[in-house]
Amino acid sequence: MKVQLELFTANICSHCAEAKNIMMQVVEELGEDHFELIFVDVVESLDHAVEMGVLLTPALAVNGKLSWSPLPGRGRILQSLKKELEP
Amino acid sequence: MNDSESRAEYKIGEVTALLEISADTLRYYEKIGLLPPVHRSVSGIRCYLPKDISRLRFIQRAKTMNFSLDEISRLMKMREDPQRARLDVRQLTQAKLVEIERHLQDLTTLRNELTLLVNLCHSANDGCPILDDIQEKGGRLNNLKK
Repeated sequence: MKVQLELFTANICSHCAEAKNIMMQVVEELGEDHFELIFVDVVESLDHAVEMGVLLTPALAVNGKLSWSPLPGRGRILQSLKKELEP
Repeated sequence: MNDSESRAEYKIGEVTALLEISADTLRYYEKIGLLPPVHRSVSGIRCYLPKDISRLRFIQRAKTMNFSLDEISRLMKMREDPQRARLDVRQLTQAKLVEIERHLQDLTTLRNELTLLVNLCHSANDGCPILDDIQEKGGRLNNLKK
């Protein structure tokens, strides 16, 4: 089963474009087949974002659970997602 | 509680200023029994005690939840003597508690939505595009209405 990653971003958020790039790189590095990466615009999907507990952007939910808000550095994300793939 | 609220007695004018409530409303609450007969001075002037102020604050809070004066009156009985309150009063209190919990959840959601929006504004490099966007849309809607 794929690990679902929801990246909560907004057009006006200054770090969100960078966060999108980082997430795409991380997913590519760990294997795209293992992940379902979804980009959620918090302004467009405000109800969903708030329901998930997002108060800052960029934020990341892993398998429907908010893991980071805001997002940490690339290394920490990579390390954490590797653990998700462990049996 | 500050110094002005820790005093023993309050004249009606002081209560109106403290709680932002009219003198007519205060007298009305007393007339319909929502407030027990207020203590009078020798010269017959109403002297509100701290427990009256507490009751009035309770009434105000309940009114902000859109409780009727009749409901508030019954809740006051529960407040005064919970052990002896009748079953219907206890049931009403329980129902109102559920209503308040729901209201709190709505308020929490609204607070989180606004927090997220404010944080987005802070993270923007140039002003608050969200508010600008909302204002622009509002302007366009107003133009369409014309």
